[in-house]
Amino acid sequence: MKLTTELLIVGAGPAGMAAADTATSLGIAATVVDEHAERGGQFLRQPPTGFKMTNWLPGKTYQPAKKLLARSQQLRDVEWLQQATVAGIFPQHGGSSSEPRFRAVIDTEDGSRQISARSVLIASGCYDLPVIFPGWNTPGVMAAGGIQVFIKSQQFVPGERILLVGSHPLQLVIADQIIQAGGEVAGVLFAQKQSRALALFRQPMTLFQQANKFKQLIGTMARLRKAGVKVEFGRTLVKANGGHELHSVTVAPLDQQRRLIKDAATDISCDRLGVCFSFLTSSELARQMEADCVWNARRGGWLAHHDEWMASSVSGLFVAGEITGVAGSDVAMVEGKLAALGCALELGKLDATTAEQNARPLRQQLQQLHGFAELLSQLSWPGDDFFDQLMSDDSIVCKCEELSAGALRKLFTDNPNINRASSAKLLSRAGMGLCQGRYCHHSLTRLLAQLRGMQEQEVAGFTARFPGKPLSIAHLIESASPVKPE
Amino acid sequence: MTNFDIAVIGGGLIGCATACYLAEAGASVVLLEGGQINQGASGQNAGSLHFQLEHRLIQNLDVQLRELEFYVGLAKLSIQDWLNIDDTLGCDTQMVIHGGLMVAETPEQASLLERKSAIERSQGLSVEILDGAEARRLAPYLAESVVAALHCPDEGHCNPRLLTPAFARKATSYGARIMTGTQVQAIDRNGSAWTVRIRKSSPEHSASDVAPKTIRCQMILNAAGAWAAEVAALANLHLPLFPIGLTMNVTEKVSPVITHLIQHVGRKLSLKQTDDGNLLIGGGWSSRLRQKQGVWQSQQAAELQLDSVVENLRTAADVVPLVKNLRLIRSWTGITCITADQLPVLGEVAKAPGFFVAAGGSGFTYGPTYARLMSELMLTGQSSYPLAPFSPARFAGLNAFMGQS
Amino acid sequence: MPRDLSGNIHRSAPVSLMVDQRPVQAFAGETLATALLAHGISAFNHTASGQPRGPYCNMGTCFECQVQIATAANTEFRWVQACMTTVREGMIINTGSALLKHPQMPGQAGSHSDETHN
Repeated sequence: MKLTTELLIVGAGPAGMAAADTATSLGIAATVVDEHAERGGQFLRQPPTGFKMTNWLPGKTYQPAKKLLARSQQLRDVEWLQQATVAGIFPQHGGSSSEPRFRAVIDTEDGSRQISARSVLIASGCYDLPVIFPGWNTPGVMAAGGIQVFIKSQQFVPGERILLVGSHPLQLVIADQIIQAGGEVAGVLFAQKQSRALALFRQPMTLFQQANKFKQLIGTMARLRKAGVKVEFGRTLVKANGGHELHSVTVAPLDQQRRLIKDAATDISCDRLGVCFSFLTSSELARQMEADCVWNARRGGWLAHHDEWMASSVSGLFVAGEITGVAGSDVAMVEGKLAALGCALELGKLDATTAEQNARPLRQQLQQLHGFAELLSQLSWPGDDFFDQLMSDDSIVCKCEELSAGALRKLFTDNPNINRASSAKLLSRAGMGLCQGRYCHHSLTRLLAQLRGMQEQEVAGFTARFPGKPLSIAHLIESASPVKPE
Repeated sequence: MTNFDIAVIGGGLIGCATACYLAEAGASVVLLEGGQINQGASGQNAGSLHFQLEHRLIQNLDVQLRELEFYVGLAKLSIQDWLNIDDTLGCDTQMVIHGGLMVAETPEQASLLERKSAIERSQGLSVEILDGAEARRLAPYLAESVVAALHCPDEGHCNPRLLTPAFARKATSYGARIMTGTQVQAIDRNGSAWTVRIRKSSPEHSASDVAPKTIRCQMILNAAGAWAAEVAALANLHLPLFPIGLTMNVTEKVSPVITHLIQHVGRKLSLKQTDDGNLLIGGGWSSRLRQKQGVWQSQQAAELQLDSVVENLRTAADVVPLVKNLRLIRSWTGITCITADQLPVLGEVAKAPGFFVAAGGSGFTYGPTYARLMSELMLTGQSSYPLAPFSPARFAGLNAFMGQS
Repeated sequence: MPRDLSGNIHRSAPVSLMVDQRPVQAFAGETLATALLAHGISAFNHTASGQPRGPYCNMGTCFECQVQIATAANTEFRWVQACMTTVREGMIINTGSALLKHPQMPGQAGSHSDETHN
């Protein structure tokens, strides 16, 4: 591990790989840090190097990222650190204009190191939105993306009979991947009415611009139909049953106001449930560094704010990919390229004219891609007021500290002065567990905002703190100090 | 305009607790807090109930002897207040008194323990010196490097997350009015009364709660902690209270093994295991206050210093080796206030009759006691324990040319 | 549960693990989460109040899939996220009711966890 680098890139997914690719072509030495065993991020989730596959991730949508992945092997001046976590990034004060501005704590299985960086790009991606309903903690219930990882990365079908419930069309893709891997899908349930879910197909411009995506989706639907998989609309979760181990999921239809008709509930037997509604940004590091973020529940929660060069509000810190707003791998790759350009410009490695010339077509691409992403987001979001009805009083909101919705509501009712998520966390312990609030902050924000009759943005979020993930104390106290440049 | 007997500025422990005692005694009280209740040091500290003389106080043992003796005297009062706290508040604050151990790792440190124990004993604090083996018999989780420890059976801890909100609820139940998201903008003398101009810093949830713009009151209590000097400036007064940035660390939860409050006589350390099972580690490691051209940016959190985190944890692991096997879940900073002589400021400012201050000096450990004594002082002119050594009068020279006529 | 039914994959070398004192076979490159689910273990750990928990996100954000990797004598351990840990020959894993009590006091033999631990 080099102790100092020009550009530290957090995340080796589409955005990070694209940034490294462009950065190296502009003469910037980059270090890319990623938690997974293999490059590619959540989007690619490469299988282990020991596996030999005849047909990994066929489908045109994966091609650009796979090309980038292939090119990444050849890149010079890029150090790739896999299975490494960035626990925190600290600003370095008082250096001259060529000295490192940041010091990062990087943790691996073997220990922690501190490395210095002149600039930082955070491209840390997103994770599936945790949706709270009775029994959501039952072993067998998973984020749909987690099931997809088993299929894509581990070539493993994690259940005899897999049910997918949500509102995002990604669950169709996952169902298809399960079928192709030889698994059985108990059903794919959408909360939206069919007309809304498939409204994408009625948008001529996006159909034209996103031809590959639609072709894939049509192929997916055809395969699902052929396999007899039930794709249903206007239905969603009531509860997961089984206690120790999932054995069925109770679902119910939704009325015109998208409220559950519990009297019409039925059970679907399954041993694995994939929940697929939306995503949350992995914005913790950006917020730990105090980059300005805006709260938008539908687009992923905390969205890192940036300018036209993907520069954040913190000098020397750039952001790209899902953390600027969940929009898919196409957007992520273009943003990664743009961030590398912005970084090169800021470091003085590129003159303004050339930078602008290269940036213009990227920004045009982004405009178009964002249009599609926004449309997809709107059509796959079940509504701001949808999720609360799924949550019962007994449902666990903070799974790490085992705090139920009912207990939290009572606590906040008894303490009417609390009207910020951070003081709610302090009083209740919600967000103080190992997941550090990743799985409860957004439900808690919504719950508190509703109780107080306030906007979610006003209630704000948990302060992001070091370390970004729980960190071995042995590693931390044994970590080497950075080598100061002479 | 709205009239109250007393305006309390600051929604931390001292503010909420004093408001509670004042309201219980029948005074009409309004509490003004710029952010959220318990948002400052009161909610960010380690929750230690340390009655032994701390590491920071014994740096100048000879110079401060007299003041320190009063401090230890106050300790006995405080221990009683803590033993009654759950009854007082009608809820569980996770207060425990299982004893404290201040450790030494060198012979020099051990003799420092001896010297300070003499002061403590003279004031009636129950302390005993243990050698390393005895210390480890009492606390098997202590390292071999511990050569001596001062055992104070009356020390313990309480949960800072729960304590201040409990006082706030109790104060409300006695009729105190609490206004959060409310900044104080001006403090003026108006005949025999004070007027306090306020501004809502953020929208509140209750539409029917129309906030007044000016409070009129007979007395003001400045309990604004790190911001007490700023609040005093609004009344044209100097108070030698300075903000300091500190650091706290918390580990993952483990089953209960550490019952004592652990401190160190020669290094910066406080360590305890909370009711929930996490280890809470601190002890005075600094975080960096934000400043702009030499002016402290008081509305911003202090900046975490990585070296403080690392060295704090190293110190903890040296004394309690099992710490090394744990994961750090969270580090945070807090800003507390320190006075010019490290002792609290408690009392009325002579240049500004009716303007009271309660800040500094181990505000968590002695908070409920300061609050109780201050409420007595404010309502009757006297307190049941002499507060004169802590009076702002010792800094009267600073305000010779200040105040309002 | 079956690893894969499509016939599309050739896995690499088998890897032997010890899980809850019993031998389990995995494949090089797999994660612990895959190996444990394939072996029929659905609850990897439990909450402080004893509720069973298993993998949720499978990408290192939720911490629901934690298991212990222990020393040969099963006296010391470290927590890992099963979904982020690649199997290695000879790994000793504790899950569920076989989890060791936490913390480990230096010099004390590991004892099994009861209901009040995380």
